[in-house]
Amino acid sequence: MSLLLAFAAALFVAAGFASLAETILCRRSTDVFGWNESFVIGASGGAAVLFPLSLVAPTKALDLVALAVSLSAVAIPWRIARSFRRPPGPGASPPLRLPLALTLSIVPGVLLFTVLCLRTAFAWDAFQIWGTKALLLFRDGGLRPELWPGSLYEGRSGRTVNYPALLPLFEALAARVRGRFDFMDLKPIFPIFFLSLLLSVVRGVRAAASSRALCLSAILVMGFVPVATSRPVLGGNADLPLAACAAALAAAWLAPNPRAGRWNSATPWLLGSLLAAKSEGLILFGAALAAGAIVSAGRLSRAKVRSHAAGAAVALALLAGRIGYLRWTAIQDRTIDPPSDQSLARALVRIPEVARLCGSELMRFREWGFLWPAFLLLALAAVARAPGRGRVVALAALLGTAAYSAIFLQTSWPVRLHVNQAYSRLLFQILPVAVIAMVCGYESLRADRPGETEEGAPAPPDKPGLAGAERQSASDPAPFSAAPGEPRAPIAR
Amino acid sequence: MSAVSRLSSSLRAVPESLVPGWIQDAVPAVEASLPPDAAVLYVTDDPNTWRCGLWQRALLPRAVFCLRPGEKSRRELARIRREFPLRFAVGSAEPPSDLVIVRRRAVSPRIWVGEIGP
Repeated sequence: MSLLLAFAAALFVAAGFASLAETILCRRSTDVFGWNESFVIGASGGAAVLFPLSLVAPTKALDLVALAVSLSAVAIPWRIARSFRRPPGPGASPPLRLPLALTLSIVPGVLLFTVLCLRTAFAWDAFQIWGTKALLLFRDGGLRPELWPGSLYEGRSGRTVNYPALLPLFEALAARVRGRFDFMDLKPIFPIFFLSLLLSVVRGVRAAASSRALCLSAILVMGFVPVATSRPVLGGNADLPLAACAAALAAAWLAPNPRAGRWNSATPWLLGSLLAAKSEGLILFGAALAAGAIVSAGRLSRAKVRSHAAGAAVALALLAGRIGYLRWTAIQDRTIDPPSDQSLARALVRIPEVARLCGSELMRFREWGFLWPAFLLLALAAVARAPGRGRVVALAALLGTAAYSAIFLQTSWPVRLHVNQAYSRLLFQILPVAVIAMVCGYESLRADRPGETEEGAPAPPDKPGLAGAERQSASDPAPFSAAPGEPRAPIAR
Repeated sequence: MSAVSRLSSSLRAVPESLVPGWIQDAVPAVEASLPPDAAVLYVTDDPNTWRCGLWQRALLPRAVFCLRPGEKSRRELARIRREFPLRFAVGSAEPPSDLVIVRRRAVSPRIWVGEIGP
């Protein structure tokens, strides 16, 4: 019974996050993918707003977010009823419907994950850092810059202060709804993130793939890759929420988006969501921006820059919030050495060792199979041949993987120990984007074969493929003409 | 059917608490023995620092410092006492020889509480 109530509380909060994002961004999602995107935006937006709220209402910030989330959750039946009453637009998918084959491929994975998650002990960080930050948030009612009571130095417990708030906020809100804080009640949150991750991968792959079999293969790889059942992922760390945010961003980027560039477009909010889940999200944020800048270099017109200014402002505001929070807490993370002549010289010496250790981790068959070698080949193919959006996703995944490997050049830990403990968790954060990038790469190779679909060829209305997404953003003469709330293309929403 | 049965039994066997019963049982007596908000030293010979984290969270918002008797304990204790005026100790192991505990009493079969001597 206790477990059921914990599940109900977690689902209530997740629904509230989604509904809140629907309201604030004037969205009217009609399918499960749109609601999933809203969930990620709502959760990360709530985490972003928690810091300024904690400044103005230090003991009431959590309650204010809880109030907004609860009211939004209560309004969901009304929202769903309204979406059923509305006449469907041309080609619109039925509300909350997912193809049977995809459902059958997702449900077993989520069920397996749920059982294993409930039966797996908390990972170290999940308990000592993330769950503890949630406990403090639950007790104090807001974020505070002080270290954990009794911390004499910035250690494991001290770092609870400057870690991002997405997961602790979700956990603290679920505890608030439940009426008590118990670490075991936090477990139901993680299957929700796993489901969200799979839905985003489905959406991203459907936008890029031309065949259903390819789509199903990608889902099975993502849902049943051995590392998804490892303790760091099952045990409640924030790597899973960050992976869900990255997956949602890649999917939103590939899907047709009539609101592109607007303040209420999903993309800038999802870009900012990377900063709300885990500190390393800043690296993924940078990788995504760099990939976008490299691919679009020389193709940006002044008019296009101006039309995307509002969206860019949203992402920059979220970045400013994260930097402001880090300055407020003033915690120096000692895991990574600050740049200096000495540390840079040591980094150069470490390159062969880090390359060898990371390479052997990428080739670890029991955790990954042949996923990463396949990713490297297909992502390079996507960078060389895929349409612009697929190229950005593949390049971002490659840059993210390279940047995550480079972290170990500057680590203050013994290199081998740090790689062994952290690298597979870092790779898991990129994994969903890597899977989508692999599909983009495969499609780009396939498009050149005789008899296959050419890039830019008309896509069927219920499966626009990457070419459809490209066409919508690149050649639509008035891409921002859709009114707020206007239904989008079926795959996108 | 056997898969359903295994799934069902897996869910029924989910642990109900993260904090072990022997810690939960001792916490009310420990709290009753200490002044409100007083920081405490937790003396343990358990090499598993996870358990120290359980005590820290069980006694929140009280500051709990963990000390494992051994070669480094004298330096560690001096460092803690420089920062915090510690007066009380809780323990599940014998304290190091240079840590004097007065008015020590058992609050559960495994846990004692006392005052740190001069």
